[in-house]
Amino acid sequence: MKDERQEGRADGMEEGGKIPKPDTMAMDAQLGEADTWADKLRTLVRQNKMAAVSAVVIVLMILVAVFAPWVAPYDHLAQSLTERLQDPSAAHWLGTDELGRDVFSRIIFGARISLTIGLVPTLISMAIGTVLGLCAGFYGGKTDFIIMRLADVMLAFPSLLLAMVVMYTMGGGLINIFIALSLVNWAGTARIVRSHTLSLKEKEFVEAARSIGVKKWTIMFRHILPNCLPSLIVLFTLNIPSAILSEASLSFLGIGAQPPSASWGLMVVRGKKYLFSEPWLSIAPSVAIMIVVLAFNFLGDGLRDVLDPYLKEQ
Amino acid sequence: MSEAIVLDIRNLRSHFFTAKGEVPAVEGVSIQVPPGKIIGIVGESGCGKSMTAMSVMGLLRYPGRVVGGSITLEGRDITHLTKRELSQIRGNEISMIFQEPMTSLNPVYPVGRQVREAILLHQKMGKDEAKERVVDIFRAVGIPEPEKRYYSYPHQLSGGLRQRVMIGMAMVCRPKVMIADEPTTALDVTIEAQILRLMKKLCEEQGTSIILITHNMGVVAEICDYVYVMYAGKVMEQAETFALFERPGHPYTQGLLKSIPKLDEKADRLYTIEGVVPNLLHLPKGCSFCTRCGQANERCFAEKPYLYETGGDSGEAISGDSKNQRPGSQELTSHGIRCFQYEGGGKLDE
Amino acid sequence: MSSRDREENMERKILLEARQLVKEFPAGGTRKNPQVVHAVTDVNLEIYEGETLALVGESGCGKSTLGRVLIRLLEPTSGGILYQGREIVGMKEAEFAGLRRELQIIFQDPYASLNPRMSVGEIIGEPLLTYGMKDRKERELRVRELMQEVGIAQEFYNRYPHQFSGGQRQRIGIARAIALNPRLIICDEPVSALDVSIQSQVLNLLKDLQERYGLTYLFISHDLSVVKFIADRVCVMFLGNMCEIGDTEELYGHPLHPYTRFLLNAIPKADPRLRSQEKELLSGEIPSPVNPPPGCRFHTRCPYAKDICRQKAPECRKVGERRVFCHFPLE
Repeated sequence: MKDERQEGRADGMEEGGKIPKPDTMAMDAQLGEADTWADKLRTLVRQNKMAAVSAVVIVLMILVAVFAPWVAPYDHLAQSLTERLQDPSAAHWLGTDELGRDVFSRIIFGARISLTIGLVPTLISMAIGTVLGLCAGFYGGKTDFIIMRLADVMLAFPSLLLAMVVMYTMGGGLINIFIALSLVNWAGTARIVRSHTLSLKEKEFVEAARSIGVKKWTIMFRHILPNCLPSLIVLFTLNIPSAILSEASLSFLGIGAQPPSASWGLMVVRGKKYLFSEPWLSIAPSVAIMIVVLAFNFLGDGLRDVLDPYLKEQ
Repeated sequence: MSEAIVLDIRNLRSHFFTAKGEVPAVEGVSIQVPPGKIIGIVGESGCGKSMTAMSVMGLLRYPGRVVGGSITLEGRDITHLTKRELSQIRGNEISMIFQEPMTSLNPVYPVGRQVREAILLHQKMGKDEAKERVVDIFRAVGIPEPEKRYYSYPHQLSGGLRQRVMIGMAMVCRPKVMIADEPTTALDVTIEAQILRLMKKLCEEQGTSIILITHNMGVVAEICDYVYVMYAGKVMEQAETFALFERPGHPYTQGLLKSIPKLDEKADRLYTIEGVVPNLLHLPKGCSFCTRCGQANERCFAEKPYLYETGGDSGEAISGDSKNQRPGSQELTSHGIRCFQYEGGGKLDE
Repeated sequence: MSSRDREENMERKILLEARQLVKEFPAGGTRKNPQVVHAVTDVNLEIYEGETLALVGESGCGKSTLGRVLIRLLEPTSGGILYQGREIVGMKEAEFAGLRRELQIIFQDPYASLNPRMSVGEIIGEPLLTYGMKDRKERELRVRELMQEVGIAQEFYNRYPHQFSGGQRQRIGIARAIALNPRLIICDEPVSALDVSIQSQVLNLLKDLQERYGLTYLFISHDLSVVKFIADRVCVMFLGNMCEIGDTEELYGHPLHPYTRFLLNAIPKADPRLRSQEKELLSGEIPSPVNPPPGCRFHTRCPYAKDICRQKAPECRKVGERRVFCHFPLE
């Protein structure tokens, strides 16, 4: 260590002591500042066991959904009327439904639908919300007024009802669910991004960019958006379960996924008739929904503690 | 002479337990506070000065913890008190004021009521009587129109007035010791001067001792009687204020004093201490200042120096265990330096 | 060429001039009776090429606002700014873009002034990219040169701001500001957030860079000792108004405005023999800039205030090279 120091000083001498010597030591200057992703993960695991478990559950769920044809013991559409409405057994872990289809396999395939519904419309709606929120916060004035009043209208209206209106006019089916949920859910994201933008645009690094002469759109996407990302990730994990629930509700009401697809919501409604004689038909998909929703919620909470710099600053 | 030590911090060690390891934020700090004196703790950010104060107040929170040493308030060990016992002492016998008075005051209650709460918490007193007391203390800390200000909310007061309210709240139970953590850093210079003068006055009139934590050498020179200079969790030098500024012994103190721009001289360049404060997780093996010290030799890199007594005015070395020879008055003249250059003197710490 | 020689050669060449500059911010109130923060009122000053002019004052005196208005980060409410003789207030954005690169700023808070999600290379390279240096290799070379210049080791090119200490971040901010070879840099309290030992490093760096590139600084600070070290001339402000402007040595040695004198008295000096316990201190608080006192804005705190001070704002008085805004300047 000593040699290093003397070298540094010799450098400084050469230049007449005018340029302060660069100090390599400085990297370690501040305490506990260098949070890498690995550090954040470690903190997450240590501080919030529930979130860590949830993350594992979600990863498993995604794997199962992707590899459903290989994981599921039966074909989820294969009917076998001789085996209809069987109790859970070694052959059929969760029994069979009124058409003799294996419930366990259907739940595994249902994970595909639920997760796609959770991810795709959420991504689309958040992309819309992010752009609108950025514009509203950055430009202010009339732009802000129009976008935010539109968002208020969306939020004031029950989103499920709005989705139902969209579905009724366009008809059922997965693609239409995507569209309906995307159109309905952007307002919350827009609000949050707008409020972040409002505070970020007063920050000195944005002022610095302006003093250099950086263009407005570049400032928005290079300086403001990346600093909203942690909150967006948290919001993303928290929006997924609500999308999944919306799909389940729409399917339950008969205007979402159409039979014979193995949507969980659809399975609950189909099992309704046999609620007293064969309760597992409704309970099993409900439990699946519950597990996914809870897992995403717990993960979102955990991520918020670790990632969100706006909560962390205090 | 009946002088004694009000607050005696011995070999205090407070560590942070982080994911990256145990951080020795305060490592063997001993501070003695005699009655009615202003003791300064000065140092740069991260040197452990605020941690020391928090440890004394029992305000350290996870992941920080006191891991060693003792804190004695008027002969009573308060290092390991329960929360309940601590809260009886806090605000009553020791009080603290912070840098940003806005965050220490509750924005939804009038300031007078908050100060009254502080009295009612610790003393048996009627509400009306307590209110009179608050108005009196407001007057004493120089708040104009104290009766009216009693009903003001924190946001209605300026930074200087809020800090006066905080000082009032800290003084209202006539504590033995008041710890002031950067009390004037957020204030403007003309207001800072007022607040410093006020603290000096209260200290003299009420006999309260003040521990003043600051990074500003000017503030230290202005009102402190005795100064501890901290660096990387340790006391590097301790001396009576005039002695410290006239004969700074430790290379760090010397560098610090030299690097401040002076009003009365024209310099072309400022003196600088090279480098930055070392990471507490990877402190050098020897003296923690060795990597930035211009006078360091091989020994400084290999061995840790003790705090050596350089004589001060009393001329005699004081060792850590000689508590019974009127330490109060002696401490104020002792001049300790943690540097091998002064090895001749006795050790002040183990 | 030493700085003094240069000063003599370029003597009195005005780089930037503010004329009757006013900046007000809306501060709520009702529609009939809107309230305004009078941040900067009637400021006339000139910055000479190659000098360091310091703006000094307490919080709310409008010094930071003035600095931002001068390089058009904020638009003035009224008044004019001449940069090299050209009026830049009201200039079209496209026309101003060419001047933008000559007017840069360094910020107070080294934590807020760097985008936490950009690497050092990206941060310092951004001005270069904005002004057309599209070639990645070429840009990296220049950035490394700039890093060397401000004393940041080149191996940190890909590091992120949070991995640096306050002093080093401030150096990164300085590198970004000098990347475009500006002529004027507004230094907005560049060292107030730094530790004493780091502060002196950054101040020396600023002085070196000024010497090397012939930069002009407008140095905004509340710290009079720092200003004494770095500034050639000083302008003292109080509540949006100028109090006094003049040569540093003269102004410190012989303040003409009472406020300047009290400010100098109030600084805690790092020498216990100079304790200000017996000195006269300014009483009272700083009035609100929403309702500034009529007449001389300092009169509520000024112990020498007379009737005229309460009624009439003082006019500019010239005392040699110095200007003071006071009805009764100190002898």
